[in-house]
Amino acid sequence: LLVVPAFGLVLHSSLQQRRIEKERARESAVAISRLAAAQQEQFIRNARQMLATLTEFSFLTLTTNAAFGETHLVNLRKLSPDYLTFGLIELDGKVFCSASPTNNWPSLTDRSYFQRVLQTKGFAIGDFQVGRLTGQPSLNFGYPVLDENAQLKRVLFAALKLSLLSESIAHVPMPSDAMITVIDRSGNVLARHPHPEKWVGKSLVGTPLFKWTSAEKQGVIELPGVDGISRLHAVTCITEGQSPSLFVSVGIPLETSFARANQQLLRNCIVLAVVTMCLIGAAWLYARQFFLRPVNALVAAANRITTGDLTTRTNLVGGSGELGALAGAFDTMAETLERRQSEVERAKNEITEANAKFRTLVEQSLVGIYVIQDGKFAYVNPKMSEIFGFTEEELTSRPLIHFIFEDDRSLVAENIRKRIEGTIHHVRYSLRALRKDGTTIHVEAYGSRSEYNGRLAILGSLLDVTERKQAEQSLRDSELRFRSVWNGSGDGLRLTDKNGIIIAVNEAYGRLVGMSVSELEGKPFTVSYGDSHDPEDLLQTYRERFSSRTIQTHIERRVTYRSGKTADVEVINSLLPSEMGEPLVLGIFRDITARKKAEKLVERQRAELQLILDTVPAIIFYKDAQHRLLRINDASEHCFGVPKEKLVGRTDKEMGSPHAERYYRDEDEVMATGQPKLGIIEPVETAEGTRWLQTDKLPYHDETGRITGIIGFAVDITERKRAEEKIYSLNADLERRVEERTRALAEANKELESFSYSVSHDLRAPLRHIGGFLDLLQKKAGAALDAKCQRYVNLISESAKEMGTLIDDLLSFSRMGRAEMRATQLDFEQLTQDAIKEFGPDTTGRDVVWKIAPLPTVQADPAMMRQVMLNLISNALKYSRSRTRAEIEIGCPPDDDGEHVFFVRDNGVGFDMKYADKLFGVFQRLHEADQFEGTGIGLANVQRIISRHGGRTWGEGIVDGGATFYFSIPKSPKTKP
Amino acid sequence: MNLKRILLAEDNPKDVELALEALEEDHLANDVVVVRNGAEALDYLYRRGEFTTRPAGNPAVVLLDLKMPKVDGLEVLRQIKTDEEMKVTPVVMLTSSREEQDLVKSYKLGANAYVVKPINFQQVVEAIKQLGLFWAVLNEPPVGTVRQREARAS
Repeated sequence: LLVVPAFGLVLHSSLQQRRIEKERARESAVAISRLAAAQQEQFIRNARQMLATLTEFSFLTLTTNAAFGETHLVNLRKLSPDYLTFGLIELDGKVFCSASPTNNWPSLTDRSYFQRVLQTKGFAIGDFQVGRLTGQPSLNFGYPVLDENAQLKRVLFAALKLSLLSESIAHVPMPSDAMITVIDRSGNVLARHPHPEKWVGKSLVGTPLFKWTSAEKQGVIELPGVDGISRLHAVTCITEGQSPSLFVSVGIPLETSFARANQQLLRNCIVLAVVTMCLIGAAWLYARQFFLRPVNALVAAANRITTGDLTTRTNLVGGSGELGALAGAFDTMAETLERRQSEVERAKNEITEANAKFRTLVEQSLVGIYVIQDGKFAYVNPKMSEIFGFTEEELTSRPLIHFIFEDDRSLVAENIRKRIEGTIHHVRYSLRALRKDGTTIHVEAYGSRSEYNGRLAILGSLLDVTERKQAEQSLRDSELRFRSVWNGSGDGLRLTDKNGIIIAVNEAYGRLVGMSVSELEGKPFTVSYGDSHDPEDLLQTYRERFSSRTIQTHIERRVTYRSGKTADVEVINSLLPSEMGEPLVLGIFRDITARKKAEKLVERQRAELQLILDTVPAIIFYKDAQHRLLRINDASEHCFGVPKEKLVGRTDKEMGSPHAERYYRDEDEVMATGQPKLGIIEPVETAEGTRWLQTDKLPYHDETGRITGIIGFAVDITERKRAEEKIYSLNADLERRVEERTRALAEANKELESFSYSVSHDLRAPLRHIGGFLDLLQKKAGAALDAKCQRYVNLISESAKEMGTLIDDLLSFSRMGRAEMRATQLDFEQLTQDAIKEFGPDTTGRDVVWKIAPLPTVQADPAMMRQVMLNLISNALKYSRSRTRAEIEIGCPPDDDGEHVFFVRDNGVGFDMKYADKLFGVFQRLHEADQFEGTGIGLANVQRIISRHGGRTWGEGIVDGGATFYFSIPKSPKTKP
Repeated sequence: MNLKRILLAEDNPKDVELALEALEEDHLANDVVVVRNGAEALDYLYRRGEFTTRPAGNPAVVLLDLKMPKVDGLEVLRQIKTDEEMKVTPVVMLTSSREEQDLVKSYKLGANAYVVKPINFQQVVEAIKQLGLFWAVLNEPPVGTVRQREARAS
């Protein structure tokens, strides 16, 4: 009775065991098939990636040069030992070029991958095949080669060594009696483990497994195999797009699965029967001890395993007999299961870990990562929302263009379009993006054409470079500022290193030393110095000071440069810390030659000024606004006869000057108006009594231009004043005397005038009476007088007339000297014609030829000039009287000598030139009165008149050869009174 | 005392004699009143002093020597020519001077003629004769002057 429950327990336990075992096997098979499928998929993915990458190189895939393509593909195969060959197939199935150069490529139009590529224009996996050239089985892949217009041009194919698949699945952990088969969609075995050599290349078409697989694609099924062994098959389908391309089947023989359970059951039953028979009743207690406990432990362990605790062990190992074996088998199974499970777990963990790793990488990336699909962000990482300031939801829900700065939108759209169309695969560029807060930021995007959720997408990363841009700009600005300071500096700038080598100089430095920048840079600074400086010595000193950090910060020295130029130079040195290595010395050089010169000049001028101040006889003093003397020179001291010390700091009032008020008035005026007051004549009381000064008082300005006092310059004019006074009195005396003389002269003139007046009236009256009464006498007694008496009467009458003429001429001569001149524009030709006319009666009966040249108009007194012409013409007529034909010529040859020279020429008796000096004297005559009548006053008159007009008179004559009389009149009149 | 047509003011008796001699040739000598200086000439014209009783009326012409004692010819001329009643009376200046200033002064004061006495007496005679004839006989005198015929008639 006791055994019955034990049997039931054993049976139950066995059934339980079998169910569990089956379940385990199923799970195990599925896991193994997935693992294997993942491996296969890896091959496919690799192949796909390789092909996709290759097609990006359109220069290769679209090349028209077959030899070129071939070279590359051969190289590629060398690098990819997993592949048997690569090739490019034209659309007509002909191989354009391949990694297996031959002329015998058959047409590949029948290849399934080729056909599928033509159909789908996508990646395609071929069926099992043995390479027609390689002779090796391979799995082939096709990939479309598109041109820029996305037109299919060629098919790129790769042939993967099929053996690789079998090798890979051999490493899949699985029970020893399990098998893995990779089948293509046509039912050909591509890989198998174990015994690939027996199975690869076989077709499973028609087998129940393939039938089922074709129908169900994936799942778990229990089927009898071709070998007749029933197996539990787990099938995983590898799809290519939507359609299945490969199947991975894991078969675990049901025997294996159930064997242990069945065996156990049998063993258990036998053992139980023996035990039942042997120990019924007697060994009940033992049964408890030796049988029930291990069975119970087994059951408990099995139960724990069903709950997933694979660490469960029966702990009955070491036990003997069937139960021990049972427990051992159980533990082995559990161990296997656990190992497998842990492998799966590990793989899963690895994937999860990798996933987590990538997720963390993406999410914590410092770079924005995004996926663009359909003009929107399909995915953004947290950094993106940080960059844009929008939440991830906002970023993925709005159109992409919303986040791009207006001006860059077309650029972005263009770049996206190109990548979507496949014209370019990836692009890197800068653009401006818009943040939620409205600010514009500079970003750099790097995006590639990719796939996301099975569809075309752009996957990219994005970096906020605003700060970098700003930093770059700021650096550029800073550089620019530095450049302009460096180049624009009027001072020479020089950077030298620790050895005194010139790192850089600016143009101004070059100008200073008279060398070009390129001649200087890289050389020791002594290169510009002339021979008078010892370069070694200078450099030595420099290096010592540099190393001890005792560089002189301020130097002024006179330098003679190699260029021959000598200059006073002021140098300001400073150490510039350098981020790398030793500091540099910045020297600022200023040419102070002119300043030095100016300083010397100022110094000299100051000394000169002091010298002048103390040596000039002028009195120079400064006073403040309160009229206190601030400074005086030596001359002041001498003038006042008081030592400087007693004068400085005191006012005139304090010194008791009676003229103080007078001085103050002038000084206050100068300070109030700011205008100097010059030439003030003022007295001053000195030790020697009152002296006179001529003083200039000028406003004295301080540095700010405010008037703070006056400067006075005074000259002692006491002596001059005395001299002037003397001159004044002398002048006054002289003037008085001149006045007296003038008055006396005027009186004399007046007397002379009344004298000649009297003469003209009173002297003529008796003559007139003599003449008058002689006429009366002749009238009354003429007849009674004898001839002699008659003659006496006539002589008396003639003498009287003669006397009258003399008086008239004398008076006229005197009048000419006194008469007022009235100069007008005088037409000499007219004047001459009029004068000749007056002589009309005198020339009656005479043969006179007049030669009158054109005569000018001159500025002269008409009455006087008339007298001149009358006199000269009269003379000419008179002295040519003896000629049968008188020729009289009057002219005025043009002359630029500033005067008109007139002449009157006759062909008369002429004169002896030795008496020429007497021609113009009063009453001087060169001919006897009985020859030519005349008083000798005519030419004297002429000379007097011409002289009053500022002209000259002279005569030329030859005895019996005619005479010429000249007179001149200045063109610009300078008449005498 | 009869009213004379010619007033001759001349201080030199020789000149007076010669003048009268010349005027006599035209029988004008009786029509001449001779005064010896300017003061007398004015007395005559204004019927003053010894001439208070002379018949009323102005001479047809006055012959004035320029240089006379007391009042000279220019002064007499000035008085005549500034007197509204008398300024119409023709005045002839006689002078031995050729001084221009005398001539200018005379014309400025309103003298009707200016004659320089020639040395040659005959010329003087001719000049005086012509003057006498022209002014005393031929010229139409202003109202209130004595004409030759009227004078003769009276």
